[in-house]
Parts: sequence; structure tokens; C-alpha cells
Amino acid sequence: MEYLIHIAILISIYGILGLSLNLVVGFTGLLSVTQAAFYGIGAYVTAILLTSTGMNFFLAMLLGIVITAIISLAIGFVLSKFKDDYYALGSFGFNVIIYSIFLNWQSLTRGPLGIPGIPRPSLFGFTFSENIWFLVLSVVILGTIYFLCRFITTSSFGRVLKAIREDEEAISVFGYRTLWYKLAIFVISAGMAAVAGSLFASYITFIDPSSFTLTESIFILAVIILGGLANNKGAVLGAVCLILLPEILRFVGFPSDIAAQMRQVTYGVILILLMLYRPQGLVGEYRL
Amino acid sequence: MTKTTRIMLGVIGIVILASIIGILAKSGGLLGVSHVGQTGSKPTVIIGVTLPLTGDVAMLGQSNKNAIELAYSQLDKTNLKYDYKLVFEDDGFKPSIGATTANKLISVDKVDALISFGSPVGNVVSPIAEAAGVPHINDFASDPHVATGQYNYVDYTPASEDAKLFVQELQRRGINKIVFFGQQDNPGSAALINAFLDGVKLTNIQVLSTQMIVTGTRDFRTEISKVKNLGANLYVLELSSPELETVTKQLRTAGVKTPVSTMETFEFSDQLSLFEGMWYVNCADAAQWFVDLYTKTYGTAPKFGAANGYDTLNMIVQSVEKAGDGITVPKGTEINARIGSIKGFDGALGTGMSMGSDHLVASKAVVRMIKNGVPVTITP
Repeated sequence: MEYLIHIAILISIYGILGLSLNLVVGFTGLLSVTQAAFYGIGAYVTAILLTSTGMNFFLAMLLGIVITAIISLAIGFVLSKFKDDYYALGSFGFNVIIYSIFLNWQSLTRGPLGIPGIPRPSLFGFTFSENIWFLVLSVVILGTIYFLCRFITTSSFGRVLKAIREDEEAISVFGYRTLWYKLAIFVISAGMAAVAGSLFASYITFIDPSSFTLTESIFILAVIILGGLANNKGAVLGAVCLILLPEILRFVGFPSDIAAQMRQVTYGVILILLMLYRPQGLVGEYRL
Repeated sequence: MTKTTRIMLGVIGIVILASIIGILAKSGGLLGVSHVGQTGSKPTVIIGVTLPLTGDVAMLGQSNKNAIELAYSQLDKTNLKYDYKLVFEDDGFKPSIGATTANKLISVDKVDALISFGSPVGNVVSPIAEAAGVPHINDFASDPHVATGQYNYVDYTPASEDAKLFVQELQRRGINKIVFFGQQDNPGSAALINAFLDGVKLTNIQVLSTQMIVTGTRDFRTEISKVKNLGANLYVLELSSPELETVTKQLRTAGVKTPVSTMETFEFSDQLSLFEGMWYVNCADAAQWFVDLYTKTYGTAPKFGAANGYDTLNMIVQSVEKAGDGITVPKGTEINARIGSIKGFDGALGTGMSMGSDHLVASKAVVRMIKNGVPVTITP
């Protein structure tokens, strides 16, 4: 049971990440691969505050959101100069920079040694030490973010984002300052990723830079591509599939000597087949 | 396909996937899980092992797995009170996957004891093992924090021991100007360099420069040009393979004849002839009988840390045998009490080893030298 609860918690965390990235990639059409960096900033801010000051988790998470939002605002300004492939390359660069900061600012982050012993959240004297309660917390947060995303994407603000994705010049002609819309959604998305980072740090109780690499950003991108771009349910569904699939493969009895390698190959083949036969993702409404 | 149909399909898909995982978890897999061991008339003790079988350090993880399987094959099964079963899981050396494998081993495979590999995963497994009351030994952690709690232990020479001996050896050889090459994304490298910098504070040894490189870098000529004229009398290469060999070759190509040394990392290399005549400090030495046995079994020499895996399994088995009556499998608390009081343990890393009150197995570092392409211990 603990195993299933653990997987459900991971799905919740990656569901939040998928929802957040979908706002930028799926709804606005900006191919960003910086999400792991914002996820990491949220995780590190929370971990550092919890371990060094004993601050309440929720306050630390809030500060994580604020700090991530400020950093993403600066990054968003720079990225707003780019379009299409250059935007992706620029965001790639920022992920690398922030990863390097996690790795090299050893006095703050402990570098590759990571930060161990991160405490679980507590609220009014109740500690979410048992996984089942942590699952409740993470599902509540996932639900809140899901409805926030739905509110954003169905609002007039969301319609402008979709218009930017379809034809930025055309929407500009109508007097919309697209830069501010793109910047706003980028910052909102980063803040949501920071929430996922805070949950991850407090749940796993240990973080190191290896959890926030470019590969992680690509994994989050894969979540929304597989689930379906520009669809909030797709983001969550993508997280469910990409987290569950490798776990199911753990129970397939490959020969012991090559089991781990076979699982990776099988996982890769299944993803390729899914993309071949369902290129728009499971419930996608937009293709890159 | 309408929106409602898609949602329905999504929900059905989720339920099916969750059901599959639940059924497979209960049944033990489609074709059986990845495990070693047979169950007979005796009660079975299950030992879970999470280690990297894929990814950057898979070479070390595979060697560790081989050593654990070797220890298992060497058990005197007829005279043991229990049957033993090993369940291996691959964590890729990634903390988040380590959390998943530990949870799976504890709640699905119902392991009675856990073995993990390396600090990043060890730090994640420790609180999970602690909460579940499952004894856990990490056999490759430089970070002693992994041993935090009542149920967690580390069977690996601490970085501070390596660094202390390295400083002593530098002083003995009159080496006082060194240049470091470190790997910024490698926790082992960082732990050793930090321990060395702590240990060198009150000595006359000067660290002229520390060049931190990123895993995957292949061109080190810029770093070498920065340090080649500093007058160092030793280059310390805290790098894993192939960066280790690449830096060494490029140093020589650049005309640098200064000797190179390391704490532990020469043991990563399969090109030991590059380091012919060079000394280095290594974590506790594997006994020759173990090296021979491993080599005979697998056709290749054991990698770094393999002997720790061999010993760790034997420590757990010995503890279980002492804790149990042979009728029922002892509880985690009982096995844990025996692990915590291990004394005079004879294994692949030496004789008379004990579990310290800090939950670390006290094993001493050694100075080794590459002679005729083979590592040879020159100080006990």
C-alpha cells in the first residue's frame, strides 16, 4: 500500500509540474525547457529554510513561490526577446545556469552532496509524517492548481494566450501587449513549479542537483506531450502514464542480469509507439 | 472522439494501470520478479537491494550486485536457520527513484533488511527504512548522514579517513604544493575534496588551484594551461572514468611530467597502466582471497566498493541468524539490535571489524600504488 501511495504522491507532484508547463507550452505555444530549474528553486528554497531556520513548511513554500517568481520574471524578460527554436534554446541555457548554481553554490546548497534531513510539513501541530496524509496534502494542492489552471485557461486571459500561440502578430494588431501576457503566464507557471518543488523536497526529505537537470525538464515536457498539449486533464494523465509505466515494468520478469536495462528499453519503445500512433498525445488539443 | 469519451477513456486507463500494478504487486510479477534465492522448508528472510544498474555509475552498481550474489552463493545454506532471498531493484543512482525502489521493496516485497548504494540514494532510503523499522545498510556512502536514525548504517570508509591518510602521505613524501581536479557534479568527489580541505588546514600543504569540471567534459586543455606553470609537485585527480584518464593523457600531451595521485578514483579506471608507479589512497582494501574469488567467478576484477557489498550481505545474514530462533523470521528491531552490536566481523575488507556507536563500520584507508598495471597496497 505504501508503494502505491508513494507512486500517487509522485503523480501528484508531476501532475502539478505538467499543469504548470502546459500553461506555457500548450496554451501559449512557448517551448520552454526551464521547468526543472523553477521546480529546483522551489525545492531548494524550501529545503534551506526548513533545515536552517525551522520555518513552517507552508511559509517556506510561499517564499519559494515568491523567489521563483522573481527569478522567472528576470528570465522571462530575457526569453521574451526570442521566438520558436531560439526560445527553446534560451530556456535550455537558463536551466543549465540554474543547475550550475545548485551545484556550485556549495555554502548554500551543499553542491552535489545535497541537503538531507528535510522535515515533513506541519500545520497547526499536525505533521504530515505519514505518507497517506502527505498524499492528501499533495492531492489537495494538485486539485487547487488544476482548478486554477482551468480558471486561467478558460478566462479571457487564457483566450489571449491561445491567440498568441496561434498568431502573435494578429493579436498584437488588436492592441494586446503580448509581452506582458507571455511574461505573466511564464511567472505563474514558474510559481506553480515551485509548489511542486516544495512538496518534492519535503516528501523525499533529501534533494541534490541531480533531480533538477535538463533531463528532468525534458521529462516534464514529455508528460504534457504524451498527455496532450493545451489540455489540463492531459497534463495529469501524462503524469499518471509516465510515472506508472516504469513501475509496471518492474513487475515484468526480465532475466535478473538484464532486467534494469530491458525495462529502460521497453519504456523507450512504448513511448515511441505512443508518439507514432497518438502524436497529439492522449487527449491533446494542440501539436507543437 | 468527444471530450466526455476522452475523459472516460482517461479514467478507465488510470484504473486499468493502477489495477495492473496492484495485481502484479500481489502476484509477484508476470514472470517472477528480479530476485535471487529459493524458498524451502525454512522460513525465508528477504533482503532488498537498491543500487544503480543503469546510468553513469552502473559499472560500480553491477560489480556491487555481483559481490552480493557472490556472498549469497557462498552461504552455508544447510547450516543456516533461514532461507534467504535477494530482491534487486535499479535506482539509477537517482534519489527520487531510490525512494520508489525502497518503498516497493518494503511494502510489496516485504523485505526484512535493506541494502542501498551511495549517498544520494542512501539519504532518501534512510528515513523510509527508519519509518518502516527495517534495518538498512548502505555500502557506498561518503556522507555519514546516511547513518542517521536507529535503523540505518554505513559500511564504507568515511571520506575523512581517506583525507587524513592522504594528508599524512603527502607530508611523509614532502609534497606541499598540489593542484586539484574535481568533478563538480559528483558527490563522492565533493565529499573527498571537502574532507581534504578540512584536513589540510593546519599543515604547510598549499592547494595552488582547484579546477572543477563537469561530467562529460572531454577537453581539459584550458584548465591544464591555467595550472601547468603553478609549480605544483602533485596533481590530485578526483575524477571518475573516463574524465580521469582523459585529464591524465592531456596533462602528458601538454608536457606536464608532474606525478598524479588521487583518493580512491584510480580504482574507477580500467587503464591502470596510465598511472604506473603512482601512489594513491584508497578506502579499505579488499582481501586478496576476495579479489581472487570474484575474478574467478566473473572473469574480471571487482570494482571499487564490491567488497563492501559482499560484507554487507554477510553482516545482515549473521545478524539475522543470531537474532532468530529458526522458527519465525526475527522482527526488524531484533535484526537491528544484532547489526548495531556487530563486533569482530571477518569479511572481504579485513578481520575484526565492528559497528561503531555512530552506526559506521570502522574500516581504515590504505595507500596503494600501481605496479605493473595492478594496484598494490604499500601501507597497511
